[in-house]
Amino acid sequence: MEMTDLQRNALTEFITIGYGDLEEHLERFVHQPVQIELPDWQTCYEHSVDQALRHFPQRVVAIEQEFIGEFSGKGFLVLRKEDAFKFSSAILGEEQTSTKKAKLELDDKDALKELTNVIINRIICSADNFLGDAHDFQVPKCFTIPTRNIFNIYTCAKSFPLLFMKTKLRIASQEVHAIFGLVLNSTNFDALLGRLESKYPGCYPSPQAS
Amino acid sequence: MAKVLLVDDSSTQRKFIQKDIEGENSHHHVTTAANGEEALEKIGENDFDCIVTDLLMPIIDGEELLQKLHDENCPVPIIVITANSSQKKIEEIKELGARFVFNKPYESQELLAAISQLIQAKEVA
Repeated sequence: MEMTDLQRNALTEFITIGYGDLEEHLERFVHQPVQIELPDWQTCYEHSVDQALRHFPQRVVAIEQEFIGEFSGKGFLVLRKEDAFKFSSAILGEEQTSTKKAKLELDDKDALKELTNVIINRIICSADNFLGDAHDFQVPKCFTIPTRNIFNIYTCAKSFPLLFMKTKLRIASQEVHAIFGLVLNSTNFDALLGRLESKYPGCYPSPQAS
Repeated sequence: MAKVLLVDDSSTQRKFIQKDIEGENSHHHVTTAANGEEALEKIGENDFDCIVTDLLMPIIDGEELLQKLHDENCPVPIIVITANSSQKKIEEIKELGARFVFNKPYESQELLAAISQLIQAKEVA
């Protein structure tokens, strides 16, 4: 996706602000030490999603949450099943059992939905406070789905850009690979860039116009 | 001791928050509801000292619950626990009558202190 350097810088700032105190929030939420790396982010379309997800197995746990406001879209968290269990066990205060659970139970899904709620709200609301905006959020949904279906599920049209944020976390020194993503259609992606433009004059004109 | 109505759609969150409120030294009693609709039924049937509610819930969400209680001049003080940390949203929630708004993940000591403060204010009144 073509963006000017200033637009890329503005989006980097948006993500950096969103991640500002996420580590501290996650620590309080999962009751374990958490280290989170600032994500490697990219915007991509369907053809580049396979590349972004190449380290993930055939099926993943995906939790999505819709946000509505100055720029609307969906946020999602993608985890390997074993990593999803690491999170849910930490939140629920359970010991990691040696026998692996076959599937996510209601409590696990509940914990993962709450985790996603905290993460997506933190990212969007930090930007809201920076931009003077407010968003409403929908109740998160949790799925176990084939990895290749992620793009289809999170987009209604192939032209929607995905803002992918790949990151590595450590929960109590155990490594977890996670993808946080935001899906915005073109109108809402422009709206986000427009809001950032209000803080960073000069992001526009758009690459097409320049 | 206070009678607290806890409203949250997440069973795990209800369990955790209930444990915090009914902790060893607080002696508060918690009744739970899974959404705003259930909460309104229980408010009609009971005399609560305080309501602790989430915002994001199905059927009737926390904001709608606040609006309904505000419209009915419900005297029960309300504490909101939400992941939404937008200052604009928090102001909106306070305008609807929330006495305290805590962001998730909240500190249990702060929640207990807020409940105590609301009960003391009720006793003085």
